[in-house]
Amino acid sequence: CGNNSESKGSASDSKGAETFTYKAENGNVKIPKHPKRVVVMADGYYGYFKTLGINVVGAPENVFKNPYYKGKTNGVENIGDGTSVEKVIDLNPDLIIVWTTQGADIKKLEKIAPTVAVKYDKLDNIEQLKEFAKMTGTEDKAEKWLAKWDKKVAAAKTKIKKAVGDKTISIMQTNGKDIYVFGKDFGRGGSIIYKDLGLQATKLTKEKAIDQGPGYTSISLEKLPDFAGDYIFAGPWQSGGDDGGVFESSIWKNLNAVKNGHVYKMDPIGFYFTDPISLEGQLEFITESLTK
Amino acid sequence: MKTKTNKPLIVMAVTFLLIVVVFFISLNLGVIKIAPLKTLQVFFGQGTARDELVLFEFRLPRIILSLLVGAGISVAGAILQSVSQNELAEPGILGINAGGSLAVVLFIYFFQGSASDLSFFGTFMLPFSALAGAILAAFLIYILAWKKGVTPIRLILVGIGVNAGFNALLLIFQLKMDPHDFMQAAVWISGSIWGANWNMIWAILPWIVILLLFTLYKARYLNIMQLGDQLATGLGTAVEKERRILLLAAVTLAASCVAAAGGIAFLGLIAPHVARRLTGPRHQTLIPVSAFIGSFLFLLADTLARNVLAPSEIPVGLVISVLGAPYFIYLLMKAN
Repeated sequence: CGNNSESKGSASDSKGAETFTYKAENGNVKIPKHPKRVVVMADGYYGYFKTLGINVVGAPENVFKNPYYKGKTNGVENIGDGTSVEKVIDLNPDLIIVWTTQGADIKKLEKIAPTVAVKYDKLDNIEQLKEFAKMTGTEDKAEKWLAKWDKKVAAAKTKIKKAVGDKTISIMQTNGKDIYVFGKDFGRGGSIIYKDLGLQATKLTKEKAIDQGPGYTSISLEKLPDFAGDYIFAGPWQSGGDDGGVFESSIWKNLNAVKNGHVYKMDPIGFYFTDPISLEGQLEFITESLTK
Repeated sequence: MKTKTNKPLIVMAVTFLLIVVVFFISLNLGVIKIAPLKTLQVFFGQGTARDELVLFEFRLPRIILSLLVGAGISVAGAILQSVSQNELAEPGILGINAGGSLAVVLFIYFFQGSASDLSFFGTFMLPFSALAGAILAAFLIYILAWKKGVTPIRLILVGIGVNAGFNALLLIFQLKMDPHDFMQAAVWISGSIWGANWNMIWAILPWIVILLLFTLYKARYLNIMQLGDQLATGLGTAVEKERRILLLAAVTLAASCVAAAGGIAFLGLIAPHVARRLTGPRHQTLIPVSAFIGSFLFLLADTLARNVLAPSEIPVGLVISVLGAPYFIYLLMKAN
């Protein structure tokens, strides 16, 4: 990708500062080498930019609901659901980050400031962090975080292995109708549990949500016992959202994990994110839950 | 007392004035505050680049698209209500919303993942697939309803059937989508025009203007058709032929609106009703008044949708329903 990061000169002014051409999903974009005011319209990427030490001036509503961002959103404006181009222009950004699925909006954003569209499942979270670091010339910050993260994971891994052994772990959310079973590539702490910690998924979860499909699979209540592991991280789709009585049903209550008290309610917003800040929060929650 | 012939003119003048008022309010309202005087300056080329961008690229296209789509859907509804001799008819019964939505969902489902240059592909192909889907659905309904001509009641019954089928398919594909694509599809289906731009306006403007004029020209046939097939035939109208032509006009009108604004429900039902209550059933006045009321309601709804929860947005289709429903119920109660 982009031919970036030459010298690390201190860009003094955001406008008229050095730029380079970055190859994004929406074509080649001329972006500042050292962006000073970034609006992150794709909520999932907020934490990446924060970790890289970049000044984010605007982010969508969801970001402010993430418990792991507590105290980390000072000075950031809430841009709502991410449809208001006027709110974005009001923040006077020098770089805008959006998802390709924000579609028609991108053309307008490009008129406000250089806009980088990202395809949300193209890279896994570590690769994405490195890509953003390359884009903003902050590789050192990414390396530093990754080193710290590896250490944290290693420490958690030995502790958890001791407590859990080869037992299986499930991650499940429900919107009141279907139950979603997550694999390793769709947020919800999946990358931590199955990749970093190397914990076991149930056979069916592995088949349906890890080896195939977009990273999750939706099942009906009857199928629940076939998918459920010995430990379950569970929650409704949104915070305070309807769980459709799934957690009250007899099928649920008869699961081994439930009977043994091995069910942990995850925060649906906090576990939606996959960025470094949220990962740390999730790892802490997972470790605490499994070694209790 | 005023004579009856003056009333439609007054109604038209009043609704037009209302549109002008909402037009200026909408232009001035938004996250970025631009004083009315400054707005004028921008129009005379004296504003800042930023204000120009906000007014000409962000707000004005939305406003104009609102007016066009509002008029188009309402007139399509007016035509359908007269042609089908059914007061509950609206563009939705010809499968236009369901067909358009299904096409959009299929498009997102099958192509989104593989499309590399998405901003181009998405903005141009999405409306186009909606148009194709809407017209295909209408065509299917017409063919299935055909039995030596198409009677209004068959048309409506087949329409309901095909709609149900399309909606079922829609649901299946939506459930199989991943959440990101699903959100995009959901926003589109409930109707939203935040993607409004000048290209879109130039694409649908000619259709809507030409078809509105054409419908006005056909107003006398609509007057006669309202009397029922037998009477209309007795009066020397080629009912089947005129019906086909008018249906085609309604479908094209509504389909271009669906392509531009997504599935806007309800407006096509209420605008003609309100117009009829205000001016009576003569189509020479019913058509223009429907168009005016549709434009007014849509623009009002979009202005609210954009500002009530700013910087978040409410789908405009929902606002129309919230605005329209109470007045509609009031009208129906008054009629009894």
